[in-house]
Order: sequence, then structure tokens, then C-alpha cells
Amino acid sequence: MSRMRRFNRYVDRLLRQRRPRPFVPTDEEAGALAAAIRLRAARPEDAAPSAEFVAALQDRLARVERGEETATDEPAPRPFHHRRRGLLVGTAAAAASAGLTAAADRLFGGRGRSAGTGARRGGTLEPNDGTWQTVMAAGDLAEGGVAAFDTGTVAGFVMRTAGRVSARSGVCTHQGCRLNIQRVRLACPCHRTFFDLDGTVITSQLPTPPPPLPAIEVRERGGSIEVRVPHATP
Amino acid sequence: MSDSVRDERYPSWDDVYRDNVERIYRVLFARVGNRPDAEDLTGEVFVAALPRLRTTASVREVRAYLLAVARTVLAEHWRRTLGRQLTAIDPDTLAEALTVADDAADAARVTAVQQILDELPERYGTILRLRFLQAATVKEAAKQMGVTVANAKVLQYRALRHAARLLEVEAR
Repeated sequence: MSRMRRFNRYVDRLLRQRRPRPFVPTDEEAGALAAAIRLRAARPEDAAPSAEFVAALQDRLARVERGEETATDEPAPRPFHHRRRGLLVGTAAAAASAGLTAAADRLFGGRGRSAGTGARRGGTLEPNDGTWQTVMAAGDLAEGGVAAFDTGTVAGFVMRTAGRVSARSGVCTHQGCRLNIQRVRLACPCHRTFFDLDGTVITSQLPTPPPPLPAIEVRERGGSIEVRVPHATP
Repeated sequence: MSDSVRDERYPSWDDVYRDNVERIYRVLFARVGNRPDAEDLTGEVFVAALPRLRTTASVREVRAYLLAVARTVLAEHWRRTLGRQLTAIDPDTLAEALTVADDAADAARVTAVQQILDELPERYGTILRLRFLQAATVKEAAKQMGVTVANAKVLQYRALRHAARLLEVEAR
């Protein structure tokens, strides 16, 4: 029933023109919400921006242009997501320095995420006393690819972004459930939580989202991808 | 880029803004259905585009660029709020938003919604009309329909699911 409540709350807020709250809908709920948006958006009285908004945004843009405000200054903070990740929504400085090539890449189908830009990243799991273990051939991991590995002591995902290989733990930081790859994110089957490939939480049904996924030490050597794993405890 | 607006340019950033803010807002509002999100996302689009726009770009290029940014911003919005892309700005819309007058688009949307509501089974149509067109609360809608509040909520959910199926068929 709480599922129905979350759905109804979303519709309620939509109808009252309040910001709906994030949750992770099922397929059917998602379809129904899209229909609700369509119905709500058809009321012409709200379809145009208010004069106040148009004026306020113009002022804000003028301040951004003069460097008095950065693009990250937000009128309304949102719960637990990393609002400013990604190139086009990066800080003014980052946006200015990033080239148009990268922008175009992101705009037109580039799926690669810039790993390592998240503000709240997991640390690196670094065993005090470990060994490098091969998890796959380097050639088996194409650019933009993600693959699961399991050494028996460590389970995770390796990925290749901009030529570089990185690895993340494949165990949910909430209760230790094993994560699955879902398109370009990692899904926890236990409590409907989704992690980005850089380990940050995208959405979670939990009232307090779990910490980000830690990185795992990884290297390419002799045509193989190796991760550093602790010695198995007897 | 071989058409007549190729050489048309905006005199200044302010002109870019004035000519496009409503256009972008409308495109986004139609896809998130609420003012606060539509305003935030519109702001994001312009703040992101601001450092990148050259005044040497043509009107057409600027509009296409803003819509492309809006497309990314919308996708990112859904990714971080619901974890899936509920609505999108597709390339067809891109072309349409560059040409169709706003009033005509509004009218078309209203007609489409009326048609969907008319096609629904009677009680589904009734609850959605009460809620979405007449702004009734669930409680008020329940009272008018002579059902409990819990029933009205279930009815609303089923009606929206049914409407979603009709919209899917229509989109094909």
C-alpha cells in the first residue's frame, strides 16, 4: 500500500503544481505517471512561464555572466541526488573549460560518464595485504563497456571510460546485496536502490540513501585486467 | 544548414533569452507537468548554454542547441528523480518546436487529452476529469462519485494506467 501512497503523492503534488518527490516507480506506475503529466500539462494556464520567473532568471543569468554567481547556486536543493553532475550541468568554471567536443559528445548520444567527478564518492578499497588477480582479458572490455567480475573474495564491476579502466564494488553498501548491471547503472535488488557507474547513488527507496560504492584498485597488465584483492581469510 | 534563416543572428544574449525562454519552458513544462520543475530545468538549460553560445551562431543553430541542451537536462532530471526517462524531447519535437506556434500546440494538446478522456470507460473518465480538469481533491472526487477515498485513489491509478495504454497506442 505504501507503493500506492507514493504514486498518489506524486500525482497529488503534480496536480497542486508542487515539485513531486523522487521515488523508483514500477513500469506500470511509470506509464501512469507519464499519462498524468500529459493530462496535467494540457491545462493551458500553466503552460507558459510566469513574468516573475522570466525576470528572475534573466537577473540570475546576468549575475552568472558577471561571475557573481556560479551555475551551482540553486534556488531549491533536492534530496540526495547529485544535481550538478555531468558536463552540461557542471559548475560554470567546469562548463567554461570543457570543450564543445565533449558537450557534443554528451548531447548527441555519448553515454560515457565522466567517472570521478561526483562530489560524494566512495573511497578506494585497498587491502593492506593483497594480491593482483586477473579478472578478464583487456581486449574483452571495450570502450564504454561494463563487466561483472567475482574473484571469490571480491565481487564488482570493471568499466572502461575514456580508455581508462576503473572498478567498483558490486556489493550494496546498505545490506550487502549483490548489484546487477542495468543498462548504465547498478541496481540493488533488495531495496530498489540504483548506483551510477562512478559509485554514487542515483535513487533509493531508503529514507537515508546508502553511501557510495567504493572503488577497487585495478590495473591493466600484459593484456589482462587485474584487481587487487585481499588474501582469502581461512 | 541551407535554409533562409541561416544568416539570421541574434543581436545579443538578451535577445537569445527573450526569444527562447518561453519556448524552452513550454517544451519542458509539457514533459514534467509542474511549474517548479519546469522553472528549474529551464534555468539549468540557460545557465549551461550561456558560456557556450557565440553570437555568431545563427538563430536556427541557437534554437537547435538550446533544445539539445534541454533534451539532456530533461533526461538527467528523470535519471536522478525516478531513475528512468518518463518523457523525452525527441528529434521530431525539435523540428516542431522550431516552427509551430505556441497557441496551436496548446490547442492540439487539449484536444488530444479530451479525446483520451472520452475514450476511457465512464468511471475512469469521470475521476480524471474531476482531478485533472476540475482540480478536485481525491476526497472531493470520492464524494461526488459516491465511493470511499481509498476507492477513489485506486480508481485514479487504474484510470491513469488505462490512459497510458491509450496514449501508447496513439503514439504508434
